[in-house]
Amino acid sequence: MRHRRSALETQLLRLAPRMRRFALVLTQGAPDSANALVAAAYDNLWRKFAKNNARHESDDLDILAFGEMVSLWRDHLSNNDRLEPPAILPPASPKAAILSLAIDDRVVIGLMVIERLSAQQAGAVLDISAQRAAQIHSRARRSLDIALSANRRAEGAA
Amino acid sequence: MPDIPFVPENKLVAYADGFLPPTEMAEVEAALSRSPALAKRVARIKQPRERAAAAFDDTLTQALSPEILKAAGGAAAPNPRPSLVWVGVALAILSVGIFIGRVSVPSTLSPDSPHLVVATMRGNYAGLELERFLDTAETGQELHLGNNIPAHIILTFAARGGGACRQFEVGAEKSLMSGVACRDEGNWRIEVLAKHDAEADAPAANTAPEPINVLIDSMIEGAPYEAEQERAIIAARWK
Repeated sequence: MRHRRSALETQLLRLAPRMRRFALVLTQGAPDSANALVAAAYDNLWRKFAKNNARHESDDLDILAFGEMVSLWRDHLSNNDRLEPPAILPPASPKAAILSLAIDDRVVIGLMVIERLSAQQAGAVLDISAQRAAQIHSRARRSLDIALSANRRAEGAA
Repeated sequence: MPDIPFVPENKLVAYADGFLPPTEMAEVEAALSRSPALAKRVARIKQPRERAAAAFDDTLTQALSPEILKAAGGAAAPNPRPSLVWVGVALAILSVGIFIGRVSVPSTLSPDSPHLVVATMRGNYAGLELERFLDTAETGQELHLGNNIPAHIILTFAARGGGACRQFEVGAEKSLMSGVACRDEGNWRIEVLAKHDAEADAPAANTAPEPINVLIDSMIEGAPYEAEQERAIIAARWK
């Protein structure tokens, strides 16, 4: 019977809170979808590790995990599956501003602002160049600033 | 007329985002130290960004769903049988009560370090903060001790001879420590606490030192607790 956690299992478990946080950014705060997304990403990762004889670099485990989640979520969106409604948040909150962004911008804000990945790491997650990731980040940043100031104006009006 | 340094807005934004190359970063920092007005502008740029960066941090401490915990465990291969040498080491640990492998107080735990362990005549027990963490944290959940030091539960299990034990981690990267604590008359007795070997090659450096795993193998009764069992025993205050 298996008792202790394997090295890989411990590392993946340590990553779980960050994966769930990123999943909530992707799913617009919908909790059940976020949980299902994280679980599906884990399943895919384990399958891949089994196929590659469990070879992996611990340093890039987060990049692999986030990459898996982005692919799964994009597939989910393109399949027109029924989506869980987004979370209802106070309109003036920074969370609401982030979740109001378009999916591509939201992904990059999730990776580079919330998860604090570098442009190079975000590029590796999204399979694009670091330069392209920095460009998207710059655009997403502007959109986020606009959303945040709109929220502040709404807060002021209220 | 004072010499007010000019820094273009896009450079200030890149600085606030932390995306400038080191040389340009140093240039901006030098300019900021000379101009309070410029420093104020950067603070104005940074503030909403920092709020956005922390917007989802509350989710880190939320309990993980059983489906996530189950999937994180995957279908890992069975563990190899421990060698006799490690079994000997584990038995030695048990007899001593606590093992500190290459341990000094990790730098992240100092000087505001929480008192992780309290030494008594009966053995070593969890200090107040660690005790609270061991009492309430669920596996996979990230909580913080002391000055924002991350702590995780790795495993919760029933011990041979009765009572519950928990494998935990405190710290991060080069200051990561692993331990096992068991419930003992309303307190958490520390069976083992060891620093991860930061010099070792990954992934070994990132996982619990082998003696801890061997110790768990020698202590565990049956399978580790599932998420629901763990939640129930936490709710029942470990009775």
